[in-house]
Amino acid sequence: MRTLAAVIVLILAGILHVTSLGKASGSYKMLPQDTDQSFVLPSALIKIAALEFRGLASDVYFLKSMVFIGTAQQRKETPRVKDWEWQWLLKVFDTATDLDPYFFDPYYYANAFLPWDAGMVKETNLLLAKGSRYRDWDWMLPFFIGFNKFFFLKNDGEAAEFMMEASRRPGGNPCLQVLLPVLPIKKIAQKPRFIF
Amino acid sequence: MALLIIVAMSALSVMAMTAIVLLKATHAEYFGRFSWSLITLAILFNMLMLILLSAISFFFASFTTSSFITLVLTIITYIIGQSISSVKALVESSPAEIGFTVSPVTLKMVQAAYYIFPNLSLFDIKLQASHALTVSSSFVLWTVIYGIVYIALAISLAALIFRKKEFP
Repeated sequence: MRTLAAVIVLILAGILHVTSLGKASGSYKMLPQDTDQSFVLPSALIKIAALEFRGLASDVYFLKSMVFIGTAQQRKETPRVKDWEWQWLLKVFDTATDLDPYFFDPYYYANAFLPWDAGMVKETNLLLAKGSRYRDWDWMLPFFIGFNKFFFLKNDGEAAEFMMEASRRPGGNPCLQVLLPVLPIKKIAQKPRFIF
Repeated sequence: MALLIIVAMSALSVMAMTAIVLLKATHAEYFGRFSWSLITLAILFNMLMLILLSAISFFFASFTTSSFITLVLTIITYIIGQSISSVKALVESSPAEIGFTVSPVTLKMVQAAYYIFPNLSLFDIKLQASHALTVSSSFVLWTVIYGIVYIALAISLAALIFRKKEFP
């Protein structure tokens, strides 16, 4: 009789355990989640802590940035992203590229968001310049810098230099060479040529 | 021990390379810059690093009284070995930039540790292999020499200590 009671108690406890675990984890998912915009450690320290897994640490930081961008797209309030959050995102991209300066994706996404949505053109160009220095076979990074200088900073002369650099690199679009003569004289062309 | 490492690493490498071949066949566009020789070299360097670490564990086993202490010391050596060059670069260059100061004693200690502990980060060329970057032949040669010399030193010291040991 005692054994039967013990078995029943054990079965009931087992059922309760499974039910409570399911309910608790279900409720936990409904709690407001932290978006993890914590302090970004200096890359010099992460390099030490990451041991031989710097590439992996770089991937983790890049994934953090992607999660943030995805979460920010779901927000209803305006502005969707606050100034300090853009600063945080820039630091994350900078750290990811310090850990693996040859990793292309952080440069690409930094250029896709920071100049357009945060107005951080100069900061993005600094990041892209780092990428261009390391990825010296990649035409896209100098092209991005050139485009930002032309479109946002209205600095056609420097934009032309970067477009020229992009066209020199392997795989550079031949159209860039067509753009070259246009850029430096654009400002001149904007001035009235004929005075009536 | 070295044979075990070579066999285990070879088995893991074959699996990893099979995964790469399969991925390359299905997503060739992601493999614009790719070099089998560098990947093989990275694996060989990793193998050499593990052999070096096992030689160090032999050295620790020669004077410690329990295998647990040997394990702990080897793990500590691994952590120091992987990070020592970054720590040295940090304390010698610009620690103030990240908000701390380094005393001259600490600086000397780090510099001493740099020569005492094995610089395991030399054997880590995963980043170069993954982006197919150039690795000079002189780097390969000197790193292999460094690894072999360190292994020889650790094994010789372990043998010397074992010789003087009195077994019950």
